[in-house]
Amino acid sequence: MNRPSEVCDLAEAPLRYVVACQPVHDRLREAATQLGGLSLMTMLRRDGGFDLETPLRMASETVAEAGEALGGLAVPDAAAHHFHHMTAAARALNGVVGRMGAGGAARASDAARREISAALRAAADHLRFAANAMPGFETVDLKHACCAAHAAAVLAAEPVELKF
Amino acid sequence: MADYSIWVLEYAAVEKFPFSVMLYGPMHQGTRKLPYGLAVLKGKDETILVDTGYDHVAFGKALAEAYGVSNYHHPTELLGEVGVRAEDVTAVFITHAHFDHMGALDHFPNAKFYIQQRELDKWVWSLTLGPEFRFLVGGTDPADIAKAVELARQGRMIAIDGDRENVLPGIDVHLAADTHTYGSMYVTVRNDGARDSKDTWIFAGDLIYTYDNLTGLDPAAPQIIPIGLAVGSQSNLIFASDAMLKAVGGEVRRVIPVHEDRLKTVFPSRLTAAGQQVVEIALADGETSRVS
Repeated sequence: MNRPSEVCDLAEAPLRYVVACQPVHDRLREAATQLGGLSLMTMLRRDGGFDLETPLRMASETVAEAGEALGGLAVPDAAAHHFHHMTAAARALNGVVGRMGAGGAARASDAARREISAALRAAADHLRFAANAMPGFETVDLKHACCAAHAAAVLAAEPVELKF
Repeated sequence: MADYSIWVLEYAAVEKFPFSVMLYGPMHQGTRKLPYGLAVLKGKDETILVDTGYDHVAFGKALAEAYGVSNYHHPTELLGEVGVRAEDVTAVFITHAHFDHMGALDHFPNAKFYIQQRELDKWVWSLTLGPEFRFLVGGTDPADIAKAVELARQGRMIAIDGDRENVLPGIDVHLAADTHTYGSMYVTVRNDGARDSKDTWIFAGDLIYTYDNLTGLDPAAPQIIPIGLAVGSQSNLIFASDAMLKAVGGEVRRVIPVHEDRLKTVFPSRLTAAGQQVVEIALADGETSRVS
């Protein structure tokens, strides 16, 4: 029979993982959205009349930061499946960064476009699988979505203590 | 002589949506039903959607449990109610890049998709600002963007820069910049095909949620009252609403808000077996009514 402290530890490890991993999931989601937007622009705007380098650099940094944060997580057994999808999403996004940063001609080839599209889809799928694998993760920030702006959870939120 | 049959199909709903989001200002004044819907335009050579709805697989469970979305049925299932198959759809106008308007991009294998260039440009820009600015891109699903990228790769995603006439026969699109989203678009159907049409319908996307946005709540003193959610400005929403109203000669019912539950009383309608509204806005010559 488990002692109470052991029971507590079993419950707390996944919880600590979820809390630590949520911002990483958010960052990967942001990077996926940003890289997707950049990919769309490069495919739809042949005039090149937009700044690709700055947002690409930022997305690249976001993916790198998320990768580092993932590497530093303590992963309990209960979170192994979730962690697998998180790392797979990060890898896929790294692939997009590499392709997008390869320069105009390499980026514009049909093969490169196929790879970018497939990697973005893989990243989005892995983020969704991760969100489905454990509670507390969302692939869309629904709290700020127009048609979900009614959420009782948002409206009923207690005032946050100010700590300036 | 109508060129397009037009229906609005409800595919899900929020039964208790706060009225203050639908109409800016009236706080603590209760809730209304907010249907999720899409519009179908069936013409001689084209079958067109205004928005796609969303795919329950991605996050329907979360929406249902946390946000009260109920009675979801896949948009392609609803198309059958008006005799249209997903593969019949030739074009889709995406009014804006929120999940409930473009979340089923991959279900229409023969369609081309039209979105405003500004929606993409400003969206990417917003994402360069940092996570503390994430309100500006709320409601966007990275999976939808991945689908859009694949469509772009296939040459089936088309970015439109501003207003454009006759994108398809009798159909114009208009940019409503910096309103509900940065690049929201409304769609005008000139259903007699004439440039100075006497039979114009406008699909407003989320520039309005209800007819009350165009009339206000006091019949004795009509006014335009914007929706409660904008990344642009309420001023821009008001002027966009005014432009839409002017384009239909002030005939309010011709500016269609797909989130308006009372469409069913303004136009002929029926309920599906699942209890969802099929609203018939117009019938083209030779078309059979789908609601009688």
